[in-house]
Amino acid sequence: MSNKSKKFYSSLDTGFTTQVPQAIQHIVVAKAAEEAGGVVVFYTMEDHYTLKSHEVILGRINDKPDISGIIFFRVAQFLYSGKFDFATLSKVLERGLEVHFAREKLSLHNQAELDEAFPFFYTLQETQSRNRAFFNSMLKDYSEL
Amino acid sequence: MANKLDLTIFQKRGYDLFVAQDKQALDELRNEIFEKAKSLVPYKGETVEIFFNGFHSYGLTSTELNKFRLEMIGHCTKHLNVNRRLHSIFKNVLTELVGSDVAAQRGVNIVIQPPGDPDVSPVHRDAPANSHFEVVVWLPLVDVFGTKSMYILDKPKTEYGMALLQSGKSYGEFASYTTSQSQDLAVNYGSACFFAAGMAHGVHINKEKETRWSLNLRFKNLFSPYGPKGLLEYFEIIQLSPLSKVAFELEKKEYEQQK
Repeated sequence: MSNKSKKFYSSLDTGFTTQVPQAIQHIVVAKAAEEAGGVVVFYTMEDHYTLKSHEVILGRINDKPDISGIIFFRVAQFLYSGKFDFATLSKVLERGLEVHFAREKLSLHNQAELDEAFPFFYTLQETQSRNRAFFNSMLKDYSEL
Repeated sequence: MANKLDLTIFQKRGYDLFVAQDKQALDELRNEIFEKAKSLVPYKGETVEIFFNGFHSYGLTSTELNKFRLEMIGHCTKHLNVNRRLHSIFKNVLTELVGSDVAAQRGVNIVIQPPGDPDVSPVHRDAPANSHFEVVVWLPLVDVFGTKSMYILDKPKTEYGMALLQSGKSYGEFASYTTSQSQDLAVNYGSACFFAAGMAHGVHINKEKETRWSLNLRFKNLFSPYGPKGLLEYFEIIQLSPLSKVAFELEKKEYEQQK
């Protein structure tokens, strides 16, 4: 398949539409598809009840669609459970589909690339999950250093 | 054994100047930037110093200059690996400031400020909204002085300026204070200003007779707090400590078992 003819599914971030409306997410994902050498042929969004499990997009790819990959709006879609959803990304890649994240301009084409990117995802999860009290406790101890 | 780097001034003022640890590597980087720049204009055969300092003689309009600058930024970000090279060039300072697990800004900023250019960056702080756990490296590619340079307020004066805003003074009054208290940095090519993201800084209209070329780039400890400019979309990992490499390998195994 040549780069020009790539087809992608778009998976927008249901939990983030208050901050970035769906219409804006469409524009950003379409641009990412263009940069990845293709176009969006279908878009989907998780239900609020499936944000953590990604059942909607997994259901779509179980039908073995004729696409090159999926473009997600952002990496944080895989952090809704509080723990990075490595398994879902692995499943998508195992089916030979590319994964792109529009906001981060990050592309994964195979399991090896996912493995290589693990430190990014893990650190994102850890730095986002720490609450302000954690840093306040550090400030309290700072004078003793 | 090399002398230990003295960071007491940085800690007191929130900024300091440091000389490149690897000047040869810096020269190579600057020459590659020069090569690209001269390919975009009707180059007249000047040396690198004369080309950069006298760049205004090429007479680019503000629109042309912005297009030129964006092309340079794109080239430097995509092809010159500037963040990793700057980390290596100033490794001693950056290791002391942010440690061995390092995240760096993905794209480098290039600023070209010809004499009289009214489009200057007003006084501002990067943090907040950026995280305070970031250091900005401001690297002039030519000698800078007076209004050809940038100005910065030290930590006590920045804090005083912020107190003015918090007490209800206008931004204009804050700007008047910062301008009156600011110090134009005199920096010779080969050194860079490192400043904490919360320090107030800005640029005057360049009233000297030479053009300023400078790079700026942000570094932070990978595991430190992030602001709205987050990991992946703005910062990327450029170095991991040996311990973190081992830790990530072990952690990854647990995640693989989810499948």
